[in-house]
This record gives sequence, C-alpha cells and structure tokens, in this order.
Amino acid sequence: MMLPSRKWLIAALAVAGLQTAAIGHMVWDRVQLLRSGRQIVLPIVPVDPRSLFRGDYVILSYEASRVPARLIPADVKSAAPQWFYVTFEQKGEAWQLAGVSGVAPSPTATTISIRARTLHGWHEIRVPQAAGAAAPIEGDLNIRYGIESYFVPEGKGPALEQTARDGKLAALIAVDARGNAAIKGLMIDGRRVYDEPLL
Amino acid sequence: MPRSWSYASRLASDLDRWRAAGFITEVGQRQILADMSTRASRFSLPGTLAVLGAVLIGFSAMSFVAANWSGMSKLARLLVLAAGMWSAYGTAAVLFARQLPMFGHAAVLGGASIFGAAIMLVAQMYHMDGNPPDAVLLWAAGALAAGIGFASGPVLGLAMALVGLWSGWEMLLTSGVHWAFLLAWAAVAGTFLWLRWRPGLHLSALTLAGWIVALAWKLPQGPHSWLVAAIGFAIAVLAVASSLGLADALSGRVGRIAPTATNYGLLLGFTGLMMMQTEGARTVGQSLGYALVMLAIVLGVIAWAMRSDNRPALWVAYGAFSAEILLLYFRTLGTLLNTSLFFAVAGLLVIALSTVAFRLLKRDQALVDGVRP
Repeated sequence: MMLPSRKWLIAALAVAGLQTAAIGHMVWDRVQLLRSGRQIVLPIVPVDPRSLFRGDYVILSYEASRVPARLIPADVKSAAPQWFYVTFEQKGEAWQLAGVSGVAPSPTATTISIRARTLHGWHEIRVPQAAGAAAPIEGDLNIRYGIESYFVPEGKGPALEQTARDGKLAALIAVDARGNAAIKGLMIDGRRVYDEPLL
Repeated sequence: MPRSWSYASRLASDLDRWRAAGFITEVGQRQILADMSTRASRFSLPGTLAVLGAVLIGFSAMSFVAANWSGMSKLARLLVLAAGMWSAYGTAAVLFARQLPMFGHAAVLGGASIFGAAIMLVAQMYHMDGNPPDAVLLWAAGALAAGIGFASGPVLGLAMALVGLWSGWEMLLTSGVHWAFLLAWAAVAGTFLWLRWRPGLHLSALTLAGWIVALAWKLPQGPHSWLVAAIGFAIAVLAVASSLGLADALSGRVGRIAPTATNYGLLLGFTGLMMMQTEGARTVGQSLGYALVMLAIVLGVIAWAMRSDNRPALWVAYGAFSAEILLLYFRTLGTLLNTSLFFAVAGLLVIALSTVAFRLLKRDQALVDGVRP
C-alpha cells in the first residue's frame, strides 16, 4: 500500500489526535466528578409514573427544579445571570432547597451548591391568583441543573418502570467543588436500581 | 452541479443557433464543445455518492449510540467509535495523497460525523444534560479543525451548519442576544474564504442572515424589524460600492464576493421590510406605506440588476415582489375594495416598468445598430 505523503499524514494525526483528546477530556472530567464529588440524594417528582420510562431516556423532574420566588434575592433576580448557584441544606437524610446566589458560596458540612441556569430566562411560572387576594402571589422559577436526562438501554425502560411504579424515586447526585452535578444512579425507596461502572 | 449542466446544455443550443446564423464555423463549434467537456464539473457523481455514503455512516454511528446497546460495555463502544474516527482520517490522508480529493472529503466528513457520535455517547454514558448546545459547539470546533487540517470544504459546511444549530439552540434556551455566534461564524467563514470554496460563501451568508433575523427578535424591546432591513440594505450598498472601486484596498478576494454579498444583503433587506409590515398591530394604511417603499426598491433593484447583468439579484427582486404581493393579499383580505385598489396600483406600476424597460431596450438596440457597419 502506498503511504500517504507527510503532509496528509500530519493532518490526519493532528485532527484525529485533537478530537480524541477532546473526547478523552470529556470522559476524564466526568470520571473525576463521579469518583471524587460529594454525594447528595435529591427526590424526583413523579410527573407521570406510567410513562416515565417509555422512551430510551427519562426526563427527570426534581422537586428542586422549581425554585420558589421567596428564595431568590432581589439582586440576583435583577442581574438575571446566565449561570447561578442553588444551595441545598442537609436536614436529616434529606437535602432541601436553601437559597439562590449569583456567585458560588463556599460549601460547609451541611450545605452544598449546584450550578444551575434558568430554563427559559428569568420568567416566573404564573400561579393563578385567588379571587379577592390582596397581593399578587409570587411565582416559582423553572431551572435546570444539567441532570434532567437519564439514558437507559433500548427496551430496558418498561422493567425499570415496573419497579418504579409504587416506589419513591430519587436520584443519587455527585457534585464537584465548582458546583457541577452528575447523576450517579437512580434510587427507588432508598435502594440503588442501577450501579453503573465508571467506564 | 445542475448549474453547470444547464450552462452546458444552454451553450450547446446557443452554438447551434450561432452556427446557423453564420457567427461561428462548424470547427469552432466542435472546439468550443470539446473545451467544455475537458472542464469537467467539480461535482462528479462518484464523489457525490461517496459524500452521501459518509453521511449515512455518520447516521449509523449516531443510531448505534442512541440504541444504548448493553451487549457491549460503554468503554468498548467508545473505543469502537474512536477506532472509526482514526481510520476515517487515515483513509482520508491516503485518498488525498492519491489525488482522489472527492473521496478524501467524504472520508473527512465521515470522521467528523463519528466525532459527533462520540460526543453524544459520552453525554449518554454520564447522563450529561447540562447545556446541550455546548456539545454542538464542541462538535463544530472538531469539524472546523478537520476542515482546516484537510483543507476540506464539505466538512466546513458541516461546521457552519453546527454553528447555526448551536446558536439557534442557545437562543431558544436563553433570553438575550447570542453574540458569541459572530466569533464562531467568523472562524468558519474565514476558513471558507481561505479555501475559496464557493458553496461555503452561500452557506455563510444564509447562516448570518438567519442570525440577523433572530437578533432583531432578541434585542431588548424587540422585535426591531427595521434593523433587519437596515443591515440588509447597508450590506447591499456597501458591496455595490466596493465593487464599483470605492474600496480598492478591499479588492481581491473581497472584491470577488461582493456580488454575492449584494444579493444576500438585498434578500435580508426585503425580509426586514416584510417583517416590518407584519410586526405588531400595524394598520392596513401603515402596511401599504411600507409596501409601496418595498415595491419602489424592488423596481429599482430590477432596473439596476438588468443594467449590471446581475441575474441572481433579479431573481431576489422577483421573489421579493411575489412574496410582497402574497403578503398584501393576505393583509388586505376581508376588505376587498382595498385589495382591488392595491392590485390596480400594482398593475399600473408594473405596466409603467415594462414601458420603461421597453424604451431602455430600444435605446440599447439603437446603440448596437449604430455600431454595426
């Protein structure tokens, strides 16, 4: 076989090497996050348990996907940053929404912050106002943490759905020092249903 | 490329006519046709099929990822894709070295598609859902690197399409203008310019035009449709000015893209004018005012395009005219008297135009006759 000239060989090595490095970096970044990040468990809102696992991936909706307006400071709201931090506080076994801030707060033993962004800008979800109410009710903010999709093997959904039907669903989340979050696994009634290898 | 095919067939029939009229000899006709056939179209059928094959392999790689097949470990799946990527680029190097560029471009395109599939696989492996446009941007960057490394137009086309997808997705998820698009666009468009790959010029113009329309919506207190019209006509005027020699310093490559820039500027300008007519709750009177401005510009462009022999600009103007008529018809629907009035005015304008065109043609004819011995 004729070997390609030096110029084309360098081009092929450079392009393939660069792209492989990019993929490798993505994998390394995630493995680091899953291996050394702190763990928290966040409850999942059962939107429609029957259709939860029908597709090849599941859309996870967290209780913390809606942040009540009272938790959002006025300065954060007016600045409307693209990225912000949502802090959770440990109350016994559970982690509860504690606040929103524009810069990353330093974590403590009982608090942890996750980087988040708004779903469609800083628009509150309108809450229907009760007739005769004096003041308008403040709405919630729809946000994303980047942990809203869970991929399952093609056809494996229904079995998991069966298990999840009556159980209480939660996600095991790893959070790194910069506030990036990753799904480690799904939990039903406090028991891991998937224990995936890192690679 | 259909355009060159149609040129070849048009030339063949013209040659028959010219020979019958005695302008050229039979030998001359044969020599012209022979010269045409040596300048083979750059878009050969085998090359096109190879590119289509590469696109199909790319889709296969993506479906392989989507299947999330548990019969193979995640790492093994990732290694399969990496091997596919390396062999695609290796094959491309061999094909380019063997002077088979069209097959080489196809292999590079295949490699860049597998790179995209690998990004998707990693996102799936780790349930990554942070900001999907980020993944598209990484893919676009990889395609751009491949386009630069192999000097390949088709893979840069993929990069430009991905830049458009990235920006559109980003604007869908966030409020505010997505300025970062301009950087990515300039990087890909600049590479097109360096390669002198003509289809890339059109792709760049269309992507930028789409972004400018989105810009009008995304600016605070939008939509600002007038901005689309202003930017479009400004581009057209600047391009014409530069081709007239007002900017000699910009000649060369920029000079050669000026006619294309003019036409896309006009397209954008007309789009903006039509957006202005539909924006908000405009009264029929206001819409008619804008419509008259638009028709005046359309007529001006038609006259200019005919004189400067700019056929694409003529088509842009015809298209704008038809779209405007259709828009006005829908806008005035319900008030039939207005519709009737509008069509009467439009009809008179077009008849006036045809009279002017007829006079111009007669004058040109007289000039030609005067030159003849």
